[in-house]
Amino acid sequence: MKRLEVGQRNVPQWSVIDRGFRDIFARRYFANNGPMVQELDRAVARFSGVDYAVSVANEMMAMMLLAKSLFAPGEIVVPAYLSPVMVEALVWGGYTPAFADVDPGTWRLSAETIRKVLTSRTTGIVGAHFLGRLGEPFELERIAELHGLPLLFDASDALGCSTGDRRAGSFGNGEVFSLHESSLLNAAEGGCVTTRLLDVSNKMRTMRNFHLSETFEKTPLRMNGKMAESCAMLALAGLAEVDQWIVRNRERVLAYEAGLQGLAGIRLLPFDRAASNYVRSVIEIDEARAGLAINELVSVLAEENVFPKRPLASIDVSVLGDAPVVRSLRNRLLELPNSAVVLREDATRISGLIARRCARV
Amino acid sequence: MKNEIDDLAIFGGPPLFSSVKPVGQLSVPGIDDYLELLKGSFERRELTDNGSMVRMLEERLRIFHGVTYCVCVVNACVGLVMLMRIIARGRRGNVIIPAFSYNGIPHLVQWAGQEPRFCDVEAVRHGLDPRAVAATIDDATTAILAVCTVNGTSDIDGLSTVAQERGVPIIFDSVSAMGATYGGRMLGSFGSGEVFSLHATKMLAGFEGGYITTNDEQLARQLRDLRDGPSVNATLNEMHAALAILSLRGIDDVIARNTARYRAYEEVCARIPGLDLLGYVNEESERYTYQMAFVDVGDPWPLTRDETVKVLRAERALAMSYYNPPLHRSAHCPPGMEVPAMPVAEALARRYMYLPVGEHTSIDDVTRLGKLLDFLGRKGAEITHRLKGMRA
Repeated sequence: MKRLEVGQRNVPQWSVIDRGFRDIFARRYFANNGPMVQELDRAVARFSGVDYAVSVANEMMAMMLLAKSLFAPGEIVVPAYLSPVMVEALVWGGYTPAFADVDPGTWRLSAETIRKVLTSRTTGIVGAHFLGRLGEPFELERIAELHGLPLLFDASDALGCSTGDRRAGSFGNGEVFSLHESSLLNAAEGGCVTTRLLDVSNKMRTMRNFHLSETFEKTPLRMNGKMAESCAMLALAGLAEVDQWIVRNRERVLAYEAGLQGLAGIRLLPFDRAASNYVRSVIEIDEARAGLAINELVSVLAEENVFPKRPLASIDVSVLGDAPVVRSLRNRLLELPNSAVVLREDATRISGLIARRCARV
Repeated sequence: MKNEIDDLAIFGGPPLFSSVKPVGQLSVPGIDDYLELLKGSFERRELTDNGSMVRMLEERLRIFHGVTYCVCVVNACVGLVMLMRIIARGRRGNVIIPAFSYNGIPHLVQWAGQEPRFCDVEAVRHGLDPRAVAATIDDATTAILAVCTVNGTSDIDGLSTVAQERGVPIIFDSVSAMGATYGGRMLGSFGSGEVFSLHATKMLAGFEGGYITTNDEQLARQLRDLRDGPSVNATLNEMHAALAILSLRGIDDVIARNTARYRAYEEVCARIPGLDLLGYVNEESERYTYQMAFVDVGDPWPLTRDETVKVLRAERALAMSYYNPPLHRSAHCPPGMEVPAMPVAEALARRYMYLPVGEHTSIDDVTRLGKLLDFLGRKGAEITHRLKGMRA
């Protein structure tokens, strides 16, 4: 019985990868902003409908460099559920994260929750497309503008999502995508910053290396954050297949939706039917109404080789302070398997296992 | 071949080489071996997060370096930042670094929450000068970051003694000296930890990547906790680990080819007055990889170092000046930081260049480059005159 896990692991056809590596070896150009990286930057910009994309070795360094290119030294407002990697990226940049709770209805930073942590030392805001759902980026753009603060988004899971006529990648002063193998687009390891702003793009392109020949703008600090040709080639091959992967994701999500329908205390988080990448299927569990504890469900499913994950399990609760909404979400959310091998019929079976558990009460 | 100075590419003649001759190692194993090794990782959809390739590579590197622990990371820079952050234990202080080194060093120290303290280097090995380090250490020093250079590691004994006497941890950036020995012992187990690179231009090609070696069990655990825990993203991917495994297997052949190239440069420089190939310390008792060819340009060579580099580059021999300007006089020095003169570093930065090496440069290329240098030496006055005219 195959393992059904969280994390996409979308892999393009081997024949394409085989040829891609042969071409790289023939060119003997392996790293240092080579032709594959340049092509990937153009392709991701096109895919996200923005002018500029700058790929980086991983999403942590993408966040380190984007933050450093936008924020003056000081405190940065972040949603309390921001992933620990992104929080640590800010710490490496010398910033102090200020953890804000989110609105109980939208699960997003709001004017009110931001105001509670805003001080005279605040120099920027980090928003997040929580669980790959765009939420209300326009609202956050308005708030940031009102306070005169630069704004960036953690868009790790939102590649391919859109709202209205704008796609993820085009909001704030810049956004960070993950190209880790668990994301929609797999570069093995990788991150990418997209922006509408030329000066941010120039700073990013300067900051991701130490080379004199790749210096386009004055920047406070630089890093070796270069993506290698191998990773860029893999991601480019993925972009050619990504539409099929989104279709497969959609079939899986719809199967979960059908299978979980009508269960008391269990709700599949809504997704935008027209503009989602359908990557993350997350359920909210009201343990009392469903008559089951999340931990118990997790161990029952593990026996069936099904491994869901609590998406906020790794956040550091000791730094959360007064963030009751995030604290509560941490205990209520469970992400269902979404790897490439989890097909429609698997989702139906998993839903059935969950339903049986609920019905037993 | 060139007969008149008009034949030089910089004055409009055809370049000596039909393709560029870079200074990076750029040695990679055969593509078929690589794809065969990697295919299983794709079939298992296991391209990162410390899969079988990374685990195999760590084990082989551990044996190669004769060290107890090896931790692979996304690149050497991240490895150095992790190491400095762990060693600082939350303190914000300063880290001692050489003034004559890699551009990235002062940046990495700042990403680790520390302030760089530049120190002068010694004239032979070009590594940190232990006396300068002793004079620079203060109560806020959290680490000494010594950079091992290609031509002789560093004065590891001298530096380790200062570190021990002052109770400051010492770590080594051994990227340029990978495969070399010090006192007959393979680099990898000196100081608290050492950092190496898997960048394609280095001895051990893995596209991009790095690793940290240490004998310190607690440090190894802290590095792994940091890399594998939820708060840092520093994993080496499987595609890069697979390439490094094969590169390591072929490293002796690479060293043999490097040595032949280096010997060819030795012959060239021996006959040309004013061009001195940088030698190796205790060559008879130590092991080196002969990766680079550094040349001290001085009297009676008729061109300046910078003129020589310019003329060679036009011929597609991508010579470069070596760490020029020195870090404390460069854009990589934190703005506003006052740094005293570093006489040795400043003199080295004015004098040295490095010549094409690695798999793109054959012995025949070195011979041809030697003939070009003979020509430049003969026509030096004329060339300098013409170059001055071009500037006017």
